[in-house]
Amino acid sequence: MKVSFLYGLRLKMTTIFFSILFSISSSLSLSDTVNILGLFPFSGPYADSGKLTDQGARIALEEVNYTINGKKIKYVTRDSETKAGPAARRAQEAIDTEGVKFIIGPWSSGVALAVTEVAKKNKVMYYFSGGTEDISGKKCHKYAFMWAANAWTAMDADLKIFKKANPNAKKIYLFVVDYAFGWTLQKYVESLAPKYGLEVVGVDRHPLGHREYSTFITKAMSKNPDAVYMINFGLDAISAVRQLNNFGFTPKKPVIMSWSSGFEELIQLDPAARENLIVGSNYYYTIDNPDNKKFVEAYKKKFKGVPPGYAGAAGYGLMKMTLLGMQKSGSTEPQKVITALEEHKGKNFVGDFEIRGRNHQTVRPFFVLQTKKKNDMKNEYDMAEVVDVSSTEQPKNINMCEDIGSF
Amino acid sequence: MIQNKYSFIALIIFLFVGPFLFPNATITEMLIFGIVAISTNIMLGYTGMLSFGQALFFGTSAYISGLMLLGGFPLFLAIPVATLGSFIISLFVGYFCVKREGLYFICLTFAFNQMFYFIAYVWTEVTGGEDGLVGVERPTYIDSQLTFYIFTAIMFLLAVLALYKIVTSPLGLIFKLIRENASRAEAIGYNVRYYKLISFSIASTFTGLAGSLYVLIHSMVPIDQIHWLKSGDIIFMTLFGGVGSFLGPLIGVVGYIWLSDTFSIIWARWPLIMGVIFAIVVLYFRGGMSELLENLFKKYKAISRKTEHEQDIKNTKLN
Repeated sequence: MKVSFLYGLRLKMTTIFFSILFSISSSLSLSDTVNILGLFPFSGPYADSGKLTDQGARIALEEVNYTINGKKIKYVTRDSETKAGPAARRAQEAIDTEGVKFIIGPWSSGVALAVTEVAKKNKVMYYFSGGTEDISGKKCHKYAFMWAANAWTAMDADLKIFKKANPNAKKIYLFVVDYAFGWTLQKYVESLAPKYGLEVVGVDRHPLGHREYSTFITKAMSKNPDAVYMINFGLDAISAVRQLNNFGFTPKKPVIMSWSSGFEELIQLDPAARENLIVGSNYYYTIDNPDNKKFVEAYKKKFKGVPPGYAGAAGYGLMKMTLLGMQKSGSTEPQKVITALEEHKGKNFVGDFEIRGRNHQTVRPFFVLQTKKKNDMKNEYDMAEVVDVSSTEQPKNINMCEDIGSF
Repeated sequence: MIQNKYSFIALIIFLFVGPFLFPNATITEMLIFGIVAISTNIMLGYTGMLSFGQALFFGTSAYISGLMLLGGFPLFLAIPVATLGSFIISLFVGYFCVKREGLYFICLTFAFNQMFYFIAYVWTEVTGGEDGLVGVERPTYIDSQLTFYIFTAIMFLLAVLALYKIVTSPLGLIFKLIRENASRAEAIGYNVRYYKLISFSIASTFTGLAGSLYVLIHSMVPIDQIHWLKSGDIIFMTLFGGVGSFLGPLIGVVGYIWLSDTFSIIWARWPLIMGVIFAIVVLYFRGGMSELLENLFKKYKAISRKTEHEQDIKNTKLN
């Protein structure tokens, strides 16, 4: 009896000792550092952009010397592989083992929607940028934010600026990548075109990863449009631009790359092939403000004089927004940071922005570029100039975020 | 038999120790893919059929389970219905696939996989398309990571026991016979095509069971879980672990997930390392990691036996 009592007591004491030790170490680590996860595609189809995005995020951290509100920032990265399954698993793993409280990560909508579920379940803040409108649309929730301009804003900007530059244009022909995001953009273009006196005279949908556009091009040319309006991305868009040039559509008539990475895509095209392109993008390195100049200089130092494209800018922008929330709230607790960001108005390297509290969309400028002729280029990276900027917000009645919910 | 006993003891220990070795979500995923790999081995290792279409059953079942849970059906109905769905689809797909052998069989499984993938891809209203099926909530009784792990571990154990029963039954022997010599099996009266279909269905049904559990890990079904590349991963994991032993594929799953997660933190080009490891395993350890571990175990036993023997001689001399 005595033995079992002593044994029980010893067991209890041991448990209490380890509990205290654990809680002390936990609270120490919580009070000392804030852990941020960069979830980027280091392998898979967007592997080339992962490193660039990561470096962009690091520049933002270097600016604050890896400290915020008196705490050290522990920045960890994981490979999303541009696959939702591994991305969600690694995000969860980083939350469990590294104590991550904030996640940033751009690109694929599938990955974003998987990670947004992880963020919601674990009450972790997630700032995203890329090709989906669901983060600030029908899948919105309190823990997720969207950095890229809203898809509606982008399409409105492309059409508005195209019409401004080509007042006589009346007809456009659409190439659309055949999946959900492509369909959404098509829907927006079809509804917005009449507003700018434009008619959609034809639409061709193609699968993701399509490389052969000759049949679409001949079909499009037979309708004699004033421009081909492309709702496709990456290599799909690059291949289509090359072939439109081979068929003689450009440079005679313009081609609109409506949702482009800008720099990353243009650099892959020969100057002759990219003549007379109108390019809609969330970022271009010549944006004329001191914050952007500072970022571009820091980035060029890291990459032997190569200016940043959308990938680097997204990493930088996402990290800047996360840090901004921490600075403004004076806290590193996700809920306080989120509250501080809601309805925040400010100015940063892309220009004036606001963060909508009702759907967590960053209302920010979307840039429309005009490519330069070879003779007008000052250097190999001087491929385009920003001709106009638009930040017209998506009308409230067509935003799918009905209720952002609570913490 | 004794070896199997040791393996099962090791498995039980692994189930208890696993959550302390790996993050909860990771170990849970390992068990789910463990069911997939062990069941795939019934077809691959025991019957000698290489299928590049297992993601079809994994993904389809995950979608069925996810949709039922979203529709308000209880989990204990969603899992059996999704598994049954996989079974029915496997009979349909398998009926056509087992008509051919070798390369043509592989091509057919691949073709069916891609067919289902494109259905999931374009049927956005139901599957979520490219974005996947999201927002599937776990029932409250398995909401915490630990309770969900326990639930998955129980399901895993039941599935493993059922599969073990199958491979040690006369049916398992017929599968082996078909693998060794299909013509002879036919000659002594077995309907090879029929038994191949059974093997295909068993593997696919259990893969479907795993798929119905997978939806609960991150409350979603990503579209890549039904892509043929996932089928490739399943084959890779099974071969990596070893098709020669019953639990070998589980070692492959644990090794593959752990190595890929670890290397991906160390070096961005980690798939290169995985490729080298896979090449080494295929070239030098045809029986996979399980063979390697078995050889090490045998070597250790031989050394300890030798040491014991030397000690005995020493003691005898001293006496």
